[in-house]
Amino acid sequence: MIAFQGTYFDGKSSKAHPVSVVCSGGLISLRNDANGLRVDLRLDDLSVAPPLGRTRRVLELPGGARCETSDLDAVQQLEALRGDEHQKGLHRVHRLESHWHLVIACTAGLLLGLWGLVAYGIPWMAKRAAFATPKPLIDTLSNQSLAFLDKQLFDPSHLDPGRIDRLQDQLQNLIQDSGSSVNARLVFRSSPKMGANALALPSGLLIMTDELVYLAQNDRELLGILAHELAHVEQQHGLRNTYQSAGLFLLISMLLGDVTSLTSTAASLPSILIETGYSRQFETAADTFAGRYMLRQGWGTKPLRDILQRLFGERGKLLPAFLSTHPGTEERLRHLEAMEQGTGDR
Amino acid sequence: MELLPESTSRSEQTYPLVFTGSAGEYFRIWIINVFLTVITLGIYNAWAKVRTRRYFYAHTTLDGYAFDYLANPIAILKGNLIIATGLILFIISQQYVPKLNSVIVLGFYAVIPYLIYTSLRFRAYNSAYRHIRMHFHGSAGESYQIYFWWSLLLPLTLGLVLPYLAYRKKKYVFDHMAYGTTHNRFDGAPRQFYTMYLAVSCFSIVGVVIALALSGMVFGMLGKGKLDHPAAMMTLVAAGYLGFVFMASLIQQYLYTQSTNYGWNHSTLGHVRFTSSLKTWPLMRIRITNLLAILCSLGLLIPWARIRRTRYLLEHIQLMVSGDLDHFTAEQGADDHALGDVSADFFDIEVGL
Repeated sequence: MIAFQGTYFDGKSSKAHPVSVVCSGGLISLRNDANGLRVDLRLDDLSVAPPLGRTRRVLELPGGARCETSDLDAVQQLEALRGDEHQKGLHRVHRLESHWHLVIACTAGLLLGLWGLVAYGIPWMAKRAAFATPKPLIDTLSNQSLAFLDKQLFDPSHLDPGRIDRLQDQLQNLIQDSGSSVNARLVFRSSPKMGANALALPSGLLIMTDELVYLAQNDRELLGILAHELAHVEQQHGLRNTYQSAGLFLLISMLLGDVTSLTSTAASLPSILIETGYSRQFETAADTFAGRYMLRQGWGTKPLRDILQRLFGERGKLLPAFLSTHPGTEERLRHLEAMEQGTGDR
Repeated sequence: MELLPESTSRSEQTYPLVFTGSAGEYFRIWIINVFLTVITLGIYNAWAKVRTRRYFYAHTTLDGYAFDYLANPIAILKGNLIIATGLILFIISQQYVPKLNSVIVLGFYAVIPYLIYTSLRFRAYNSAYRHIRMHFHGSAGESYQIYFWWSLLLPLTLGLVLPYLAYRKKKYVFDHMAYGTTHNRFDGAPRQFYTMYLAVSCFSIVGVVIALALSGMVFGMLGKGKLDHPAAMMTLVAAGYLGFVFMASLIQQYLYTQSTNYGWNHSTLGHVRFTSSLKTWPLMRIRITNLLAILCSLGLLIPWARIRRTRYLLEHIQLMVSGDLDHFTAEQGADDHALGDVSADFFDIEVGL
């Protein structure tokens, strides 16, 4: 027999009825002798709300009434008596929450899980999503981007058509040589606003600014850059980066779902750091691709190193390495040089 | 049902809200919530939200009985999925189709009033005390009036309608709340809100004057040469930024305490009146210490900070009851979907009481 004190609410009025609850032989009865209230029912008809911390337990009775009690042990005995637990999953969650050693184990698991998600989970899912994105969609998006850039940043190219044709031919050689299946197309634009730069859009559209062509001392330097951009397309870095940012944003907003806005400003810092980490990985991968191509051509990686040095000498060292999306120039140069000497990762 | 003796219904009795949550207990619930949310890739978030609210409600007692949060996690999960899909589409379109951005932002503004309306309904309907649910009887139309049309007037009137807007927002929440079949009445007037915003304007002007005087002094003391140094400049900019954040936060807390107090103090729920006595400085102190604690503990003190703030907010609300709390009756109502509630949380829209 289990006996405990509780409060009965009929669900129709806010009146609280103190009751004595007695359970024996599969039957349960709630009784208030002062006002003659008496409810009898079978134990099986009862639905017990899952526990939460040390808060009072709720027994839901058929017909919309309920009985609340702070006698936690008694309710536990009641549940043991019934054998089955209603909402088993939440009982397990409660068990996790009740023991400090489990809590500490879960905290360790959480840190491990977060690290796993950021380092492998999100990049893996983004890669899958990027390669599953339909080609027509990618083309439309890329054309939209180009139209936007043309309006905001670019002017038509002033390059000599002969120079353009030569570079186009060399790009075709580059694509064939690297065995790439990408349908790459190279366009030139003049952009005083952007300066010397090259970019790749996910559809295979490579854009090079006139300023970059002027900066180069020979075509090998430009081909190094083109190989770098081709790697971005080939490995879908652009789309993957977008998906990774989205995933990271979802993760962080999920974690901080119930934090006030003042503190979420502080939370944007780790997200910036992680995102720059992601894009630096892509840059390194693209440099490796370009380096390999140049080594196969027997040029060595020097032309790419030269133009990078000139490029970043021009822009200056604006940001410390951990904040910049490209790895620090020094680091990139060292990586390319190591490749040439055969000690870098090939 | 027994009739109450006449004598007790005449005298007014005071019932404080008591909050009994503890940081240690909530910490365990919180960290397990975060853990399960991460390993289920966000799906558990809906259950986590319900568990958190259940915890806070169950530790809020009035006259010895606790409140109850009754939302169905599945409803919240559906809302979460819609928000997540929308967000991913938004991020992609932002990157590749910038033209669409303004359309999306406009569309977002057009649905906000509806989301606020459903959020209020959902939250009220799933809050219960003594097994009687609360209800929100405001209309979507009124929400559009306030959050769309009057808000559009803000820039046109150079912000002069802002106090009136604040009044309408409070009125919208307080005047349409109901506990069971008993409707809450809000008898406030816009006047008090104009006083509040006037005080804020004076305070801001004084603040700006002090800031200008201070920076003038600093410039004068250092002389021109020293400011060329980037470190000195950075320190000054940082100090100015912190000062600005402090002022903005102070104003925000002041408006929050004043309008919340006003809302409660002008509410009548049947034979129940409320007193709310929130004060700006203590709340500001809690906010600053909470922020420092969260930053220094890398987030581990978030549960402690939440418990602390909630305790302060709840324990400054009292009920003045003539008679007792036994005679409220339940109303039958339909369940609501959770999208509004979920998005209000997500976009940090202030809809609470």
